[in-house]
This record gives sequence, structure tokens and C-alpha cells, in this order.
Amino acid sequence: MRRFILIFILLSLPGMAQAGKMVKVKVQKSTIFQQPKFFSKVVTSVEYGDQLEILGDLKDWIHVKFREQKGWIHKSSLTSAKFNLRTIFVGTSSPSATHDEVALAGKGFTPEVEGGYKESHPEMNYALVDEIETYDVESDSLYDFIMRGGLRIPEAE
Amino acid sequence: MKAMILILVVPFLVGCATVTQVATTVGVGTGVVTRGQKKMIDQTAIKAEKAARPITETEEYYIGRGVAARILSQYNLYNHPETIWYVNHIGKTLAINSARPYTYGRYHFAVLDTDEINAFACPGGIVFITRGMLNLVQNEDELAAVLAHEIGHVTQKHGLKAISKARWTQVVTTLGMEAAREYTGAQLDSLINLFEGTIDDVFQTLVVRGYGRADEYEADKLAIACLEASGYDTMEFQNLLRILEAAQSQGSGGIFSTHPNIMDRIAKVKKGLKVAGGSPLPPERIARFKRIARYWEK
Repeated sequence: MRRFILIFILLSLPGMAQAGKMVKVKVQKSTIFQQPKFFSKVVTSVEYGDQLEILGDLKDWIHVKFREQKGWIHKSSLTSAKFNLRTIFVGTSSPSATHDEVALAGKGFTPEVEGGYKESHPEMNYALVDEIETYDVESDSLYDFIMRGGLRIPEAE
Repeated sequence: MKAMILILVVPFLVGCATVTQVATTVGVGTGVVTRGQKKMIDQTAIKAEKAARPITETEEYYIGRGVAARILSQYNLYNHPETIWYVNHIGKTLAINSARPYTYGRYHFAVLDTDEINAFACPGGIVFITRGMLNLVQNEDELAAVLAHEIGHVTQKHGLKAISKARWTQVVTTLGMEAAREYTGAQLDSLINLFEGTIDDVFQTLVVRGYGRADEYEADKLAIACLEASGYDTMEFQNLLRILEAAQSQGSGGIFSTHPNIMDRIAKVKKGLKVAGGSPLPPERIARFKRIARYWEK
């Protein structure tokens, strides 16, 4: 019965982030900042699939270590850290451990699928979509826009 | 005892097949679950996980690009650099103050060159606003309210809710469980068809039918929080809705056919406003809006 209660408790844990756990970047590009706030000094940039070690967290910001560099990254850039019970019980990692890993393996709706769709639907205007994706805002320019307009940036504390 | 274990294990099956397999292995080892029961539970868990797998951020991105490409097969872009610069600066200010500052492909704000009054948010962060809507808003804060509402749809993934469950189940079952495997020709053809259907599901909701009322009210509520966090005057959201109401009396279609009754929205938005407002907007915000707005009339 005790063993069963242990299993029951462990099953209810997935989803918790923990110091020492690894997480992956789930967006094309993100930034590790020196402080847990936008526009603080940039430590480094990270890309989709990069693995980061969690050191801690503060509200929406996760303190991470990446290639010996430490800093803060917004949680919306990262896959959620999950307990992998197979590792705990069996000692090996499951090939389909989390949904995020499945995504990182390039399954589902991929560039290959989009390519096939584009080929069969030339009327869809992907050239303009690509153009829109070049619309970007420089960090310094955005900061200036916010400050001059009497607007605010989010604070972690 | 065995029945109790089954009752307690089964609720964890959905989205947790690997965990369940480990649990049933332990159960067999300790004699509380028979091998037959283990097989049945494991199979159910795998099926449930397949059907329950959420749409990933990369998939959301490709769906969003597809929806945008379809919208752009019907509308031209308004290619005015100062306007694009301005709208993207407002949009990015709001995005960093939202619950989801980062998406896989980031937020991009584009203007559709039409007199229709409308705005659309594609899954993943491409947001469209029409030149007709730009013409309607009277200041930067009202423009920000339109964009904040659309960002709310992105953060909550409202567009993805339009995808037929049956279609998504088919996508997941087409893929199989292996982590690294190339698609066969038949699998790829099937996925392309499912991709087309998925884009259609979302497009119909965004452009033709509209989201459900609950999603619209939620986007309004999130917009108020986002505007407030960004430093915009939330009272301007209420003013925007009043302007939309006035515009509705002169025409129909566009945003009026896809959104709930504006009076209902005003009533709900009013409840969400914390401050009375009324303080004048900062001069720089007024000036930069005026500088750019003069280009919008055709």
C-alpha cells in the first residue's frame, strides 16, 4: 500500500520545474539577460533546441546556465521541465518521454509538410508571409519608443 | 485492492503513457496488477496520449503561417515603412507585457490594405490590422487596444481551438510513436491534406465565423491587463468600442460579423477597468500618432 501511495504521489508531480533540471529552448531565438527583466544587459542568445540548466526562478523568469554562462530567460521561451519517471524507476530515458521532445524531433506539421502544401496551393501568398516575418524591432529602438511614450516595461519584482 | 489501484491509476493515463507503463510494471512486479491488466492499461494509455498530444509551438507556427498566407491571398499588404515601424513598436511593447512575450516565430504586426474595419491574429503571432481600422482609431492608445485584444487571442491559443478534434486525432495517429523517422510518401500526403484542413478550420473561425463569445470576452479582459501593464490608458479601450459601435451603424460585415454585440463588450470591459482614467495622454504619444496617421487616409 505504501509503495502504491508513493507511485500515486510521483504521478501527480510532472510539470514542476526544479533547480538542476534541464530545459530546452522552444522558440527560434531567445535571449538570456543579466537581470530578470527585458532590456537588461544581454548575456547571450539561444536558439531552438538549446539545452539550459535551471538554477532557479523568479515569477516569469528562469535563472539558467548555458555553456558556463548564467543569466535569466523568460519562461515562455522554454519547454516545461518535467520529472521523467522512467529515468527514476528504470534508469534510462524514454524515447517519447515528453511532448516537447517529440516536437523537437521535428514531427507533425513541419517545413516538409508546409512545402508540400505550398506546392499544391500556389495561390497562397507565402512570399508576403516571409516578408512580414522580416518586420522586426531593434531592442534599443523599442526601449526608446517605450520611454518617450511614457509607457512601461514589465518588472520581475 | 486491485480495483482501487485501477481506479487510481486510470485517471493518470491521458498524456502520461510512459509514466503509466512504469507504474504498471511496478504493479506487475508487486503482484497487484496482472499481465493482462497491464497490457490493457498500457494500450489505453498510449492511445490516449496519441489523441491528447497538444499542438506544439512549431506546429502552431506553421499553422499560423498557413492562415496568414491564405488571408494574404485575399488582401494586399499596406507597405508604408513608417506605419509598419509604428505598429510593430506598439505591438512589441504590448507583447513583452503579455503572458506570452515569446512565441516560436515571434510577433509580427502587418497592415492589410483595405477599407474594411477589422483585425486578425494568426496562431503563433502574426497579427493583421486593416487600414480601415487604422483610420478609425483616434489615438495610439486605441490602436494599442486593438492589438492587445489580438495578442490575447494569441497568448490563449484561441485560433487553435477551432481545429476539429477528429482532424487532430488523425494527425497524431498518422505520425506514430517513434521519435525519429522520416515520413513515407503516403504519410506525407495525408499530413498535407490534414494541414490544409487545419488551416481551413482556423481561417473560417478568424475571418468568417468568429471566435466564441467566451474567447472574445477573455481577449478583452487580457487586453485590459496588458494595456495597463504597458502604461496605456485603458479607458481608451472603452472609447474604441464606442467608436466601433458608431461605425457599425454605418456598415456591416468585417469585425461586426465576427465579434459579439459591442454593447455587451462595453458593459464587460467597463467592469474590468480599475481606474477612472481621464488624465491626458502624454504629448509625445499624441504627436507621434498624428505624424503617422495622416498617411492612412486614401
